[in-house]
Amino acid sequence: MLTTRAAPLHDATGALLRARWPEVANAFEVLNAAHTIERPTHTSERTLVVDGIQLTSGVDRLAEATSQATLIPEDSPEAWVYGVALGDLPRVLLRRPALQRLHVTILNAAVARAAFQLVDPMDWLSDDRVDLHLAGAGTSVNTPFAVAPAALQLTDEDAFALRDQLHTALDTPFLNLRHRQHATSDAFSARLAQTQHFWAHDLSTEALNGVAEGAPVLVVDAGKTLSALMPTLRGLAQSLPVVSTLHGAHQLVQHAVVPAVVAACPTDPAPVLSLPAAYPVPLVYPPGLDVDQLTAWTGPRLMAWPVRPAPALAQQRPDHAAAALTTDAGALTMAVDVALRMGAGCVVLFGADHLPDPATPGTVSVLNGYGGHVGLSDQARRRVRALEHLIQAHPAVPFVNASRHGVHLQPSSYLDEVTVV
Amino acid sequence: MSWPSPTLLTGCVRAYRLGFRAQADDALVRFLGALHEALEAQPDAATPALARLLEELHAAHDRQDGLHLADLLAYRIAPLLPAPATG
Repeated sequence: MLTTRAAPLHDATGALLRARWPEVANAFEVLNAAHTIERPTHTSERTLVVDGIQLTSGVDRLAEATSQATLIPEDSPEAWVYGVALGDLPRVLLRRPALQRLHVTILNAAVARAAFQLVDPMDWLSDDRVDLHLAGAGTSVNTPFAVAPAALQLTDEDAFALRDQLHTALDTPFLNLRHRQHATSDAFSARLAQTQHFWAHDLSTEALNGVAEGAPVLVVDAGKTLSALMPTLRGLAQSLPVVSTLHGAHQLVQHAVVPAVVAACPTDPAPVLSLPAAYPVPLVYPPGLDVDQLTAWTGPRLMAWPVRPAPALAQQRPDHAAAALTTDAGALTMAVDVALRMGAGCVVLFGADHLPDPATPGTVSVLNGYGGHVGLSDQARRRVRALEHLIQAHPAVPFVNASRHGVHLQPSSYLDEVTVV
Repeated sequence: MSWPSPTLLTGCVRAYRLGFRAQADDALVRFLGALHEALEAQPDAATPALARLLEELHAAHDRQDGLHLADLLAYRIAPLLPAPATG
């Protein structure tokens, strides 16, 4: 194991950094991040293992970098590399005569410094075509780009937003393909056909537009923090409308709280819920929801047309399907979209923590409301970013999170610092 | 019974090296599913060496150590699998 400040940089590297990229040189001087950095001895090529993550291949770094470089067209005059690793990817790209400018963005200064100590970077760093950047809160994704994936995994918290944008850019083509495959599957078509008599005739969610104009709306999901928040929620729910996910509604009814609206999403299958007929609570759902849930619902049903309908569904759009909701990012985001359509002047989130089961903690680090770190799965991280995207599209509506224990949503404040009623 | 195709394995390795994590994880699940099926049909092939590597593979996956995982697949597990049938 080595500490990141134990060994000095090579003299020439330090001098070059101070001359061309003083902000990087300064960042290397004030490192305070604690990482476990090891040099494994069993690999045939030199590499580093940082916090248990191998920075490069330990067998054939050149083959790996050559593979990564294929994401950038051979004739591209400009390219972006996110994550330095051991400099193999910049080295491979700089062999290309067509390349005139190579932007290399450091995602973790401590890891980059350790890498510069292990493998002298002067051969590529001294190339005039190279521009070195430090990732920060405002860094955005430029194309064409390639990444050093382990460096992405080790991103400094200042650049978590950039890391998530990079993951989205890398994963979206595959996820879209899988979504298209599902949407054209026989199983999906059969489910649409089986439930067509519901979604083709039920009223659209437009019926809810403006029903809570300007009022605070409580949005509930069944996150780990919900039970501890139940007393607060019960108090506020006496005077404010509650929009709940189906999972959240199961918990609410156990605590004798009746939601004003329940949002159900096929991507978050929940046990069938049937409220007493005395509570005519509307169920908002997109086509594709399980037939058993639709059949069991005793209150009114409101069909939510998806913002991005599957092609098989798009051809069957009912005439009355006017309002479209965000239905492909999970029930919570859908419930928030419902609250916004209701005209919420403020959205207060309960149980929207995205915390994983303790048995299956995720490995993507994000910040909680105390500034600490929470591990999320890739899917949970994508859902958090989709929810933040919806929040950011409504800058006039304040979002207030009832718990700091869960994932911090940007932008949002906390119930312990504002008054909602 | 058939062994996981070399294309599936190399596609999985490439996806991990390029940072296509969703695609890589999906391919890994399919690779392991096919491998376990093949090993059930041919238990003699489930050597202690392969079992140890698979254990290491799962541990690497759990901590999202994708490049070590790719090394394990490409350089240590692939050579233990039978060559694809030809002809």
